[in-house]
Amino acid sequence: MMYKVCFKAVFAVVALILSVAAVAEARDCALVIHPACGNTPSAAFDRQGKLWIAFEQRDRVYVTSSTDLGHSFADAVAVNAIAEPIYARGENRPKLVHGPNGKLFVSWTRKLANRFSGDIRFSRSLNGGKSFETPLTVNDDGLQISHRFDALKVTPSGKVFLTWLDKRDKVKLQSEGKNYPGAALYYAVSEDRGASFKPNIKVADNSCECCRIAIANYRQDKVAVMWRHIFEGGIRDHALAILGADKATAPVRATVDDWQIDACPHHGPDIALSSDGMRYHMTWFTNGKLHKGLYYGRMSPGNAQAEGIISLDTNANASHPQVAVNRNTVFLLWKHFDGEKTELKLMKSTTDGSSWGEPKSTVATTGASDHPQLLQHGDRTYAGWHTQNEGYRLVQL
Amino acid sequence: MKAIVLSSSNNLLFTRSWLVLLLLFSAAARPAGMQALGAESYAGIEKTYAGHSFLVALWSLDCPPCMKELEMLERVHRAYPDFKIVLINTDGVEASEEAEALLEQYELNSADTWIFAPEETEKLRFSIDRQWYGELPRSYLYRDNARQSHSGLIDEAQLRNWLDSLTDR
Repeated sequence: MMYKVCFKAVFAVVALILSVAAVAEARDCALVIHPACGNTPSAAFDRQGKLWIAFEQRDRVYVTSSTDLGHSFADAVAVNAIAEPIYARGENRPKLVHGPNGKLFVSWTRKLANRFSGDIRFSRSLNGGKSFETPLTVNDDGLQISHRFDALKVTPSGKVFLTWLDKRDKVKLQSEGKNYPGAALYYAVSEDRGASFKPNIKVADNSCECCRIAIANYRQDKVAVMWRHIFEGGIRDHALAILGADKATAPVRATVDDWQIDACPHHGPDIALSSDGMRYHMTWFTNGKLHKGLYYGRMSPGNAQAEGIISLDTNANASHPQVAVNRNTVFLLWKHFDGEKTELKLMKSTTDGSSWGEPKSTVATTGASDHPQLLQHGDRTYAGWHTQNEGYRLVQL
Repeated sequence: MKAIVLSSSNNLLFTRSWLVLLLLFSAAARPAGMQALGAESYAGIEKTYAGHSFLVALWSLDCPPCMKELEMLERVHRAYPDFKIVLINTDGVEASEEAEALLEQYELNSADTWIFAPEETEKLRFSIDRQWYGELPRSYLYRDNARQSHSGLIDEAQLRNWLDSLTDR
């Protein structure tokens, strides 16, 4: 009897302590600016191995850094001094890339008053992240319409490429009573280290309007972009184009999945340049007639179709695949929910994508989780993952 | 409350005053907000409407085709007011103010409306349909306790034909 009472008392005390701790933690996020408290972190290592993260919290983009692989972070610095509503959910999120000589470049989409409308915003730090310059609006049409899903890349020479989904053409055609499926893919280039951007260039009409754009470096100081497109007949398969400082190549069909649907998958692709610089490793989601689930394929610009296509995971609870190349290894990472917990699954290839090892489970969480991100420094590759229960974790793969 | 500048005509003044009062009353009397959908809620919804024909439509604020579908469902709801429509927003309770405002715009706030609770999206999706990849809009037509799933915009003509063919709504 005494034993039972003691046990109940201990249990009650422990429960009380845990609940107080939980409340205390919840209160902390109301007072602290931290990647674990914010939304949609976007990370990148600098040359010295310091991890930098941009995230959104309370209408500002913040940047912080860690010298101990994400265990502790420096005080976060606000990028936009004046608060503005920011898209920070799922596929639409702030981006951070490193420029030459310790410069930091950040992009995000500001929310405007009308539904689905937004502006593409950009800022830079010229003092190693101590402060950021007043943000620019990069879309140059001056319209209060949809410019969203920014993707950012810096080339080896320091050119900044910023690409996004834009509805100026849709709005124009619709005002003339014409139909215009989806949105258009636009980009702008800065050749003065982010001080200003050249006029916007259109890459393609009729992109899917709610999926992230994948962007990767290409040779000759260019970048490649891959996105979900709307092909003839309403087929939402993927397209690829190479962007230069002054013009883009005509888009080519990157995937043939035959997914005819008028819907928002909220599920964009990822792309990485192969180690020899000659082709792309692509990974994507589809629910087409020919393919269902997560896929991998290789594409050489100039070739008519992708090759080496394999299915990663056909389960409806697998999502958000990422691909990265580090030295001789190609990494594929994705989320998989099994009914109880969400795991990050990993698959590797040391034959440039011709053959693959078995998928392995890495970390897991039983709570809510963000999309994972593949990061690298030197010969180490990591998964960066923000989860509700664990905060921000960096896991070596 | 701001003073409303009205016509000088006495009759018009009288009518407009009643109109304002009526609007205020209906605003105060509007139905309760969206319910939070937890891991057990969907099973509860199916139980509530067991034996009936009804439609479940999942939507998000960040989904242009979903707006088209809500517009269409507003029309269908007006034409078939006895047909039960259950609307589930997948953005989560943080977005409930915006989601409710949108549904009011489409005059769909009298439908049975839900919003994903602050639980894992994957868990909630799993509780609804293990075969659903998450694309939106997503819908389920229930009839004779069997359900038919659909991804993408529902075809309005097809839905109306289906509704006309029902003996019970």
